Amino acid sequence: MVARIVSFKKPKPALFFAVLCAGLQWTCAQPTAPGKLVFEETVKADSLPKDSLHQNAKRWLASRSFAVATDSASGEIRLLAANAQFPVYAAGYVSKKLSGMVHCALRIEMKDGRYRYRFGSFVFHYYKEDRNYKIVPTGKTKPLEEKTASGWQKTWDAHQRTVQATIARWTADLKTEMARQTTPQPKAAPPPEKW
Amino acid sequence: MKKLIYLTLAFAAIVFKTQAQDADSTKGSFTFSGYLDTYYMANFNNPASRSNLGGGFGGEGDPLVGNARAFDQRAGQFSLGLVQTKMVHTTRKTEAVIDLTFGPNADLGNYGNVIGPLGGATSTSLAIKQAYFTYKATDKLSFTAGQFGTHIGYEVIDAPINYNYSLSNLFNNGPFYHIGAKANYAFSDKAALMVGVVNNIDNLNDQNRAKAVISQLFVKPAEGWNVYLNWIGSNEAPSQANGKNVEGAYYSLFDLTTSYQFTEQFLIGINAATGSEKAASGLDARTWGGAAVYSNYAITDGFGLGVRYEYFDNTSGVRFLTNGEGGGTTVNSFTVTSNITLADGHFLLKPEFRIDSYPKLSGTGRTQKFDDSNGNFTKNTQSTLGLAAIYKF
Repeated sequence: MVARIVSFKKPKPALFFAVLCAGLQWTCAQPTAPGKLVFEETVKADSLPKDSLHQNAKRWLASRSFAVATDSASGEIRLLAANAQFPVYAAGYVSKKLSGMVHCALRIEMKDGRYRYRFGSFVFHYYKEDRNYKIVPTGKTKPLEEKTASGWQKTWDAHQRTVQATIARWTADLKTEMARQTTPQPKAAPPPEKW
Repeated sequence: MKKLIYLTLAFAAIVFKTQAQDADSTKGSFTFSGYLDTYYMANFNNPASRSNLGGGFGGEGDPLVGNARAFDQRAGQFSLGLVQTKMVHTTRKTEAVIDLTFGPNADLGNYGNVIGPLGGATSTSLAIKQAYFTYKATDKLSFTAGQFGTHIGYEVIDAPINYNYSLSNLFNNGPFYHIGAKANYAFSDKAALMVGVVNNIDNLNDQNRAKAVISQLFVKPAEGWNVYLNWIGSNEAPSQANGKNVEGAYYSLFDLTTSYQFTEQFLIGINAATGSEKAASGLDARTWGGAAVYSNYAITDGFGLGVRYEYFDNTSGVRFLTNGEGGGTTVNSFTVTSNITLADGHFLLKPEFRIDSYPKLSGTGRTQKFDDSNGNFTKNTQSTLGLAAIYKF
């Protein structure tokens, strides 16, 4: 058998960019509401009851350090609302520096066989270096929905791309976790009555 | 050749991405940053000395050592400030900081490092603004050793961190750095205590056998409100010829630094300090002190205005700031600075106006603080208008 040498005499630019994007994981979620930075989707989970979905969602929220604000059940719907924050960086010439934190809210509504998630309320919290050389919050905030940032537009645009990439990663993880087949843990049996 | 370039770039992208993820997780992160600054300061007195320092300290009428300004000393000429290269390596348990500075303001900031271990007039130690490492024993407790910037005061050497370019008299008459070790315990994110032992103030080598004690209490009474209560106690007298410490010599400085972010745009800061120094037992302790009020308003992300008013009292003459005849004095300073941010935060412009006002010495033939265009010390106030340009990376 003669080995065939594959020649790349004319590499296609499109192919190159596909490889490059795969390397950099440039996968960005697109906002689902026009003019708003909101990412929402209803996902079918045919064989899973809402209690299993609820367990899966709670596990995922814990793994991502979300702070659960609401955990409720009303009729056929179970609801989880949680908040999270993640860092965004200013590109340095040699290394990156913390630019701020993005705070966001997540709401997951679960029914038997389907659930709906909604990422929103994205707010950038400014950080700066203080007199002790620690990067600390300034108390100033800016909604991520704002398009312009006077004096630092490039970094602001980069932060918006980071948000979209982060949400793309999170939603992919969330969907994987939510699809996990688990049986709701039985409630612990009450201790035997002492007498 | 092209395919090699394409494939190399794609491979580099994948490797870079992997490394970035590693840095975020277990291996720690490395940061290389720094800045350089330059300024032009016009002095309305048009001093013959082309200096903003005035006269006084070091001898009557000496035009170059008056200490009326910390770093922005040159008048009517383009001046280089400082070049900084700062490297920080951080892991979950450790942090190492190497903060090297060069240039005129680096020399002024590290004046205690000029004598090298071999006794030369200059040394590589002069370039070290900070060099320390921290071990985080727990989430709350950390230990730091090396040379670190002082915990005292509102302002620092680093021009990008300060709102005003010209530095306060409280900064100029307080410590710049210490060499030693300290422990920091965070009770919560609202309170922390630092206690340490250092050689002394602003010196590479200890001038006696005594060690100085430093402390800082941090409290955060409300969101956006930070309060630092700082103290240092030290024996700053050089040891006697027999190597023994001078009995009763003592230096003590209490400092309050606080800031409150009233709104997202508006910040108020206060710095107040009181110090005393005793040269030896049997001599009176001489005191100094002052207060500065800062208010900054960010009109947009890229444009803001800040005002600083400061009163500094060195009537005893124990610190470097003196009147034109080398005696103790008081000074009122008023500074208005604009902060203009360009080039994605890399380039800062700071136009600034400052007035320094000293009491006029009455009587004929008295030497006032500042020199006029003829070189005569006839002025007790000076006004400067300038522009500082800072590039940070």
